[in-house]
Amino acid sequence: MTDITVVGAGGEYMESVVVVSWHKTPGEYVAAGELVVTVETAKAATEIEAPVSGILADIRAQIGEEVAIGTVLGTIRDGTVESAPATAAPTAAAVPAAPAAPALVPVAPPVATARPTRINASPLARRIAASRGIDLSAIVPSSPSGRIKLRDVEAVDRAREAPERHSVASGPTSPAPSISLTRRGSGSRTPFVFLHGFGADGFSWQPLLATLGADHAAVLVDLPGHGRSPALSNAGSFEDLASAVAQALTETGIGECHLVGHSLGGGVAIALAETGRVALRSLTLIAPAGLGPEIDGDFLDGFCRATRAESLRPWLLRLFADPSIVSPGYVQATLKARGEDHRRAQTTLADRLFPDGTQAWEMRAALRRVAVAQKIIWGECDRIIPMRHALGAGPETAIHLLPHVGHMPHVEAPATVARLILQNARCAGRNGAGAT
Amino acid sequence: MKNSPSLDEQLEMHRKMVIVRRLEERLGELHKAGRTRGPIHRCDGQEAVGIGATAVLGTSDFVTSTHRGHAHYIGKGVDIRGVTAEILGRATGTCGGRAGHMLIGDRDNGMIGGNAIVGGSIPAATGMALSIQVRGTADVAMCFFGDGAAQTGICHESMNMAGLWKLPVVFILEHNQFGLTVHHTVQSPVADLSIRAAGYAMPAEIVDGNDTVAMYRAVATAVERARRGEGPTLIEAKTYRMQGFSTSDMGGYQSDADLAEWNRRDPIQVSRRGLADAVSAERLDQIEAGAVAEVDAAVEEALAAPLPTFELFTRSSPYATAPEAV
Amino acid sequence: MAMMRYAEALNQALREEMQRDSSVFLFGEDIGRYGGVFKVTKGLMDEFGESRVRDTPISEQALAAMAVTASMTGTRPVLEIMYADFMPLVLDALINQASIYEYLWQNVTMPFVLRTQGGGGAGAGAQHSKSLDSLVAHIPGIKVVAPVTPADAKGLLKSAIRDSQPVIFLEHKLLYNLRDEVSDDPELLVPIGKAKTVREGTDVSIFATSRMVLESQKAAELLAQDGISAEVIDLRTLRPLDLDAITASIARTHHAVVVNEGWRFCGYAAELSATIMDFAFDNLDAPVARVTLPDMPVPYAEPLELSVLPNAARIADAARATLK
Repeated sequence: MTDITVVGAGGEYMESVVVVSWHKTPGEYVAAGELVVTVETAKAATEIEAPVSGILADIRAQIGEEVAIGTVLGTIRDGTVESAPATAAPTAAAVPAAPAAPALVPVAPPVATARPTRINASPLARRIAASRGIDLSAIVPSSPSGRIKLRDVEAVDRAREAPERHSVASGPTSPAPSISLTRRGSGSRTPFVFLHGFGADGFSWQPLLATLGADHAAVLVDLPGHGRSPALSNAGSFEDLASAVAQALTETGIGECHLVGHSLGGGVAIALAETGRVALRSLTLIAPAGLGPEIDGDFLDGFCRATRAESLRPWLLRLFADPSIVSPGYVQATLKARGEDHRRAQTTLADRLFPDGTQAWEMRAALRRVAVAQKIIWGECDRIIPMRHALGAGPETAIHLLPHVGHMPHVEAPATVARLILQNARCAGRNGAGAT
Repeated sequence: MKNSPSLDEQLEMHRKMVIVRRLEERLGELHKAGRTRGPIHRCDGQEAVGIGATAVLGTSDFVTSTHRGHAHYIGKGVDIRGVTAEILGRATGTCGGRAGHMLIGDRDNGMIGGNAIVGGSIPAATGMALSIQVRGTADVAMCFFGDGAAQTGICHESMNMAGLWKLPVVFILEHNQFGLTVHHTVQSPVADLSIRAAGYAMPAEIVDGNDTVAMYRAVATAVERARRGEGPTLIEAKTYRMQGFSTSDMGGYQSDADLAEWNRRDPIQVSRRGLADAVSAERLDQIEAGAVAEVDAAVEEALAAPLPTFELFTRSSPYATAPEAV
Repeated sequence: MAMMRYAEALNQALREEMQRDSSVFLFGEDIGRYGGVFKVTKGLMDEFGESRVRDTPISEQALAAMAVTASMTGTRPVLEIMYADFMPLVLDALINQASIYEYLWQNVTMPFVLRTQGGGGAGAGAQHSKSLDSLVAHIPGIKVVAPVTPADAKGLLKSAIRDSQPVIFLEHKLLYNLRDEVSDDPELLVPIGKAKTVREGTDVSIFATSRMVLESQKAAELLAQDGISAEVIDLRTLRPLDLDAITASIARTHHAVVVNEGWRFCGYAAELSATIMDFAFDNLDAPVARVTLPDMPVPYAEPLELSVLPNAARIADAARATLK
């Protein structure tokens, strides 16, 4: 009997992961190295491969469940028969405690070494988090004091429960050609739809979510060729991507939303607003593409070419003002989240949208036509797209420039960005028609 | 002579003075042997003031004392064994070892009590006299204080009110010449502090503080006056502190000539001479030996008694509401 | 029930207790013929005579020490110290005398009450406007009460007079004219050591003393406009603290603001704050906020004085900050 566990990878800020999906059912044969379970961390989805060949004996961590790094997710027993009848799986108690097998290629250093400082949390938040088994290190405080409060813990608690309560809408959605949407939270107000940047995926919004409060659900989109969404072979513009997103949102029943887009996702967001296929309440753009010709072509080239941690890391460093974010674990998680198919698809997409290191698609005019509350957020240390592009927005757009932040404000200053997004949503509630 | 003590009273005063003297001597020895705790303020040579003044009082009268109060305690009837055990910090002490020699209080015997804030005994007795006056009983409050305490502001405040309201209080100024190490001539422009009494419209008398009979007579007059509701009296008892301020005093500021002069006027010898005509030397020796034996027994008993064990004082809520948080 | 001013309620309490117990007597400066500078003892000398209602010389140190020993010897003195600013003069009587004897001697009681009034807002300047609650609340063996309403003023003063221990009774110069319903039942006492919830709320607990309770109630109104539900607790007794009321409220709101008109450093609010940390730490979702006088003298001119006194706006700001 061999344990399936998760160690390290992608977990540099976390002591726990959430199980996203199982790719095998108990009783099914699995070959060593084959994908068996996907878990989600603060930064990315991590696919966990079978450490040995055998029969998946039992699943101990259910989908949606948060488990500590190192926890046994399931076990594989000896066996060669494919599709063996699913006999009663041995109970957990009957399984002798086996030493944790090195399930993954543990490239990342031990988690503990990446923990920068003591966690700042109120006594109450600490107590409640401990009693509910919630890992404080994964929570980004919503208070300007930087202290994790009870409401932050409760937000995590709600987000954790949400996939179970809304199983229909949660997890990867079923229609095959469509793209992956993950719904977080169950807030009754108009949901936020998040569009990530080039090379990232829906999980890149994770640091932000804890501080977003519980009033709004969050829908995390994986753009085509990213995360769990298949590539869209003919995608050649922001509009093409926007159209795919619009279709997915419509199929999921999301007719109205607050839209948030980062970088590539920013350009897609403007295009989505133009389509009119989704009723926008507010638009928040973070270092968006589409507002000027300049973009760091070297970054795009280097990022697309990289297949190893050594070659990826220098380019990831260019994304942030604070180099400490780019830990070995982060590099590894990014690499694993992408995979070779996506790398190729992204290379093609980059070539079409940003040929020769230039933004070929101009969205400024479209942005000026968008009539909802708008904010543009930009890091002053952005080295990928110049911050002055923000000036291309219309006179009613609020522009927020964040000091000491690079191209990833939602990762480097998640609390600030969350506050601004909520502000924008409230603003929409006051000025626009309808509920927020 | 008016208000003279009876022979029995005189003998009892003599016995009590010997008790106090023996106690002070034993405490000196124990201190040298390292068996006492903290400073001890001996009253050797001043015994006649406290013993003579308190001899006039009844149990229901009140006395307030100072940090040098052993003669006051014994004079007012506090049990020598309890006092000794308290000074030696024993569970069997008058206050269970909580108070120490400066702060002994014995409510049942009207000794409330020692007071180590110099001057503190003066308003204390004045307040008790106020209580007596409001309640309308014939008791008196007696206050011992020194020439040092006479220089405090609260002394003036208290005497002013005592005089103003004709409170039944007797102020005994136990003038032993020194406030700690500083001679009274360096602390006051007048040698006889009792002249201040005029400012409070109260009578005053200067008495030989080394003569129990003189003390008794003067105090008896003052106590009678107070009981009649005629108000306070200030008695300035001239005496001398033969030992230092306390057992921690390094000395060197008292002249040998003064010490020799006051030693000739030792109150116990003065008392013996006064009794010589009426009582045989054998009887006096016998009384003194009895007193010495009583003190020695008290010391032995105290040394053998258990030390107190600490208990958080939880009887009253203001003390009890400060538990240490877990 | 009758409508009466705070000062009248105190007067009624004194009269009833003096009628009930002949060992109760009053003394202090200007309290007799004149009836007290705040008229709390008005008419009592006429009713009870000059022995039981005494005008005294200006001798606070001795008066307080005398209250201690008078109370030990069969009477129940009620001493008025005209201004709380004069409390430093009586501290020896409290700290070196009253505080120690019950422990040292154990068979004595000290049933005296020291009434005084403090606080700013009346243009009385730096020597007549202070709230020195912490100086007296610091002392073991002494109870400290500070009623806000006329009914509590009466009920607590009666409890204080009947208490066997020293009680410091803190009044506030701006409360004397406050009118409210007061019971005329002479046996209706307000227990010492019990706080009172004057407004229930769910988001933040405001613990206040004396006149600051009124400001805290106004602050709660301001907060309600922002959708914040503030609970206001009138401590009434500063020592011994009603720990149960404090911890129960914080268990509901998880946020605490403490308000006291005294100085901040080592002040009463600091003690409250530390006590909350001791007993309610695991229920706190934010640090305890303190609203106090700044560490400076109370200035004279109106705009200056109003600038230093804690008020509703400041209390509301502190509550909002702790909720952020």
